[in-house]
Amino acid sequence: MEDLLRNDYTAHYGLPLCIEPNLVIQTNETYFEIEDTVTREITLHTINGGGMARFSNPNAIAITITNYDKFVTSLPNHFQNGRKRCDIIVCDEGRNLILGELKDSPNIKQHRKKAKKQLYESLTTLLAVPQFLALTNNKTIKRCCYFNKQTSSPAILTATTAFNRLSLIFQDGFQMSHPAIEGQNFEFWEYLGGHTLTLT
Amino acid sequence: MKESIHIKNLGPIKDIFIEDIKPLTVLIGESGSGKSTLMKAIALFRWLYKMHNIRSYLKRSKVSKSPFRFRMDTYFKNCGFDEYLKNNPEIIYTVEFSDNRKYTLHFAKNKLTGTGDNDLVQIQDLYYNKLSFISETRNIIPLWAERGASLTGGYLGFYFHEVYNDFDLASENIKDLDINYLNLKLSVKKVQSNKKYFIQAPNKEYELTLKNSSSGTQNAIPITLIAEHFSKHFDFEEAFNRSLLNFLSKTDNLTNFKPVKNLGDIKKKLFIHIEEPELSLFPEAQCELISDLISKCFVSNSNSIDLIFSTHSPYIINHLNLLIKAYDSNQLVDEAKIEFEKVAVYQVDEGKIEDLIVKNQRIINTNSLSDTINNIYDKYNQLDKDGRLIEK
Repeated sequence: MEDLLRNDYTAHYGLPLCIEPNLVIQTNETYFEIEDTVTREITLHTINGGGMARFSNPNAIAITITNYDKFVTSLPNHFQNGRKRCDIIVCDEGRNLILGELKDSPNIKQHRKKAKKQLYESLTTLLAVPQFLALTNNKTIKRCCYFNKQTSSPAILTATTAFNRLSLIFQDGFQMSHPAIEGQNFEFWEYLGGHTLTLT
Repeated sequence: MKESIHIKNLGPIKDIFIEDIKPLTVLIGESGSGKSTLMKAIALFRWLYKMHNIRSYLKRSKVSKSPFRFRMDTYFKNCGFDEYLKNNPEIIYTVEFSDNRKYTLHFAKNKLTGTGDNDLVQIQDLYYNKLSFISETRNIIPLWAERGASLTGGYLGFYFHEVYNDFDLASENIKDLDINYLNLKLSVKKVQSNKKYFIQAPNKEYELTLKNSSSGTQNAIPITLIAEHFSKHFDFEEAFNRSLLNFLSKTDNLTNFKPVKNLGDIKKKLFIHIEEPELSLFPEAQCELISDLISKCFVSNSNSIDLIFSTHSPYIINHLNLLIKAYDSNQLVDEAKIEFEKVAVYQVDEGKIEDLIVKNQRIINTNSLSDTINNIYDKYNQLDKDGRLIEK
């Protein structure tokens, strides 16, 4: 993915080669979380609750996490200005290809709406690159995911816990309707709080 | 019979497409988001399609002269849509049957198409539908019923009189009705020549007139009474014959009429539309009202009913998850259950809709409905962090 972005993506859009360092993190941890820091860096956590997106990787697959937001931000202004972009691309050598938008905010509706736009625009920008399109043909799990780490209530009150109980009942995330994303043969998924994306 | 609707530029609605209007459709959203406009547009086009069916039935029964004309300006005014016309709204309503037989009513450039003689509904697709729109103005019903005689000629708007007529009709058939979710009973009594509505407590501990009951009771009773009436007591044959005779006598076509199909062979459906069923009710009663409504429309009903309602209540949407689970567990909760495949829930926001049905589970995604409570306690926690709590 790193070569594809640095070389093919930039060539397709007539941009100079990207020399931004530290775009990619790799892991084969069986459980990890991804955090998007305020400085646009991506960090990994293996302890529960550290990140915004939770992944289970029971087969210890080698996973590549690309900081797509940082990549686009490194490109010339005329290209990146006004261009909506998601935070990460998670992929492996097998069947997984996942675009992710990471949030840590209580306003689910507002951020979901924004995340949908960021994910869809990122997807269309990426699919226009022939090498990315070719890559998607080999993948069977193709998802655009909105991750939001949910907040907690004061310990003496149970109201927010009660309202958020749905996320505790179902651990696997929710596949939701997004006709435009589905039209590109991807699925739209929402992962909140304890929802965990299992890579297989 | 599968319905779809596509609405563009209608007041608060920018662009909404519902590919398949499910038997139970729920619209949740902020005030002014377009919920009521969407529901009224669906109800209007269902009514137009109903009238198109009646016209098709008459035309196919050798009644050549059309008994009525569609007057969209009047209908738009009744719906409160007249001010929206300047934005050139477009509405496409389609009813589809097996083998791709489709009927489309299309409103664009202030003109309705799809209701002409070339667009008649085929005999095998004829439906006789009845619509009910239970508006938020239903809370005036008790007062209007009490003082009806002195208010003859008064006009409180199209939707109020629609719901009042249904309430009045329902109370002709139903004289006593248990309102279990409020632990009350409605009693309809004839006093002189007028109907009087009373609310009784269990064991007749007390009785008071409906207009003096709580605001929650006054809002909820019309819903329950009308739903009960349409669920079990509505006489399609009588209503159809009344409409038919009315049209035939108006156009002096009684002798030409050669019925192409017996009413008994025509498919029938009831459509109930409700604005904010939860008005003035405590959350627990909101949920019990919804159970009662779902029971009447989908469990104990004799007539086939489709139900749409708008709501502001996250409790109601979460309660639907319970009723879906009840269906899947083959159990009843408050006498109710609902099949997941029959349910659609849309969050209406800034003139568009978001489908809240989860595709990989049999559940409605209510997470975004927790935003308010999460926001409250985020701000609460933030005050702690900022050290801005006022010391006493």
